[in-house]
Amino acid sequence: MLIGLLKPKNGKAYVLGYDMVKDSKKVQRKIGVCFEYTNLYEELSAKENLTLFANLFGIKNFNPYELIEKVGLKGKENDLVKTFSKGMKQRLMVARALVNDPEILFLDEPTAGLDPVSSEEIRNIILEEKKKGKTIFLTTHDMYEADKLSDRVAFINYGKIVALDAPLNLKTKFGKRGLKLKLQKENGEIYEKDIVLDKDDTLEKILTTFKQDKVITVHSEEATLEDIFIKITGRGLKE
Amino acid sequence: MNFKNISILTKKDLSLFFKNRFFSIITILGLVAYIIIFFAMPRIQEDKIKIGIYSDVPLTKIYYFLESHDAEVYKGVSIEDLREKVSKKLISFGIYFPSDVKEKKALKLIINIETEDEMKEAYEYIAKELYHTEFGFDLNIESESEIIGVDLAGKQIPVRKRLIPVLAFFLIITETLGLSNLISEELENKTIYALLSTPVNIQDIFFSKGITGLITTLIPSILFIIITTQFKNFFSILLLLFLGSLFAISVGFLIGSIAKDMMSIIGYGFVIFILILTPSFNVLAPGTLSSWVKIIPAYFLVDGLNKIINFNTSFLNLLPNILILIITSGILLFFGAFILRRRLI
Repeated sequence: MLIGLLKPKNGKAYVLGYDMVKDSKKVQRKIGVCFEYTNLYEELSAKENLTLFANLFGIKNFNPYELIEKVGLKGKENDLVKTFSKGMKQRLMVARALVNDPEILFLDEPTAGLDPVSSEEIRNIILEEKKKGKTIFLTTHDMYEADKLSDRVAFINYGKIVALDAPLNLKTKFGKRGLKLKLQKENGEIYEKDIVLDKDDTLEKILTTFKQDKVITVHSEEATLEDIFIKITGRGLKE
Repeated sequence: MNFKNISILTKKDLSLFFKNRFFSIITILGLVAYIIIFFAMPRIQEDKIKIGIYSDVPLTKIYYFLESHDAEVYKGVSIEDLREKVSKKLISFGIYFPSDVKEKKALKLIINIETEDEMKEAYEYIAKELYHTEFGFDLNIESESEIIGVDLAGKQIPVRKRLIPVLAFFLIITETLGLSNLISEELENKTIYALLSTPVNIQDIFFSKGITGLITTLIPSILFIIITTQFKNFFSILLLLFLGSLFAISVGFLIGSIAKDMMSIIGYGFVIFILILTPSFNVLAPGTLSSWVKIIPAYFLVDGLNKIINFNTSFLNLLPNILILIITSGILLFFGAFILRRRLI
């Protein structure tokens, strides 16, 4: 609905101050969309794909080479998209979403199924656009990615937003920080112990533990967004 | 509707159409093959009967009678000679008058085994008539004929001219597959959603597909008509071809909106083509099909083209054909667009 492909049956949606029911085409001039599925023209080249969309946005003097280089496809400008790997196609999809230099970017699972190198490259492009001050809607199942890239994270459970905040705030609110210790008793027995941080008796517990036994290893622990999602929704991300 | 977007999308569709080797080869080969078929057909309809005659008795009246009726006669040197000429199809049939032809009232007809029954009957009548002319016996068969409609005796339409409307229609309808494929691929590859997330709207996409269909169906058929009819009644033909293209586009929309891939396009196309190509046979061989073919809108296209090309029918007489084509194409286009929209939502 926010990218103007579906009309709301009821209620209102505003993007950039425009009503999505009445002015969706005005909004679409200012947004870029990268779909979850690859929907490029496979029989056209990378350059032709980008130029087609630039023309549809009415962009004058469009330079496809700049974008192609930006997404790491330099030298592949004239190759047909059907010859590209999944990672290359996904990078071209991101490039296509950027042809109109959008104010808002909608990226639906842009790194799904990609190798770590391609994923990282796409994440870097997202961070670059973020630095330019663009609003980016990123849909992802990858909580590491959400944590790394997002200023604010919304958890959607069965179509409803169940939590919306900065990752750190969510962790503070729903997660717990702690220490994971590996200790050795006088008799040589090795055991593990968890100490929850930010409690009234945390310091006392730490001191007691350190005096009592020999500390072998200490690791700090903090809740991940995945832990928080499970805690909030009561189900895993894949369910 | 945005004409700039329509032109951008049409350019893209045409590029995709011609990048598909299968459809570009079909388009070029189809045009070339149909032109070759046209020129391979005889230029004039050969309907003169060449009669071979060999007689053991002197014939006084027959040759004069045949010459006065502008008939072609071959005078055989023997009955074997007649047999050979008939078997080689150098003459239509032969008549052998034996020496006792007058007494026995019997002659011998030499007919090729491949001759149709109707023609055999006709040759028998000719022989009886000639026998009567020479020997004065009355014919015991009475016949009366009345010609209804345009009497085309002596000005039969050659097969190649009969083929023009049929082949032009084939050219138009073949291109439907390419258009269907463009639509189906746009849906199946979900590129249509990428387009719809830009300032392009669904009407722009429909129109660009329509224009692509119009270009790919109309241009080969116009080229074919120019080569085969030499601009005779060109503007009336152009109008009918345009309506034929609209009809083909509507069929293409329907197939494209229900098909999932190339195989299903060919599958659906095959079934639909059999149906819509059926009326063409009535032009090639009039009277072979019942009047039910008129429920197939394509009939009015082929019939209209046939009327202009082969009968010089006036534009006014074509109006019913034109109206029916406009209405049916409109209905089919509506259904195609409706199904397409349903698939998008």
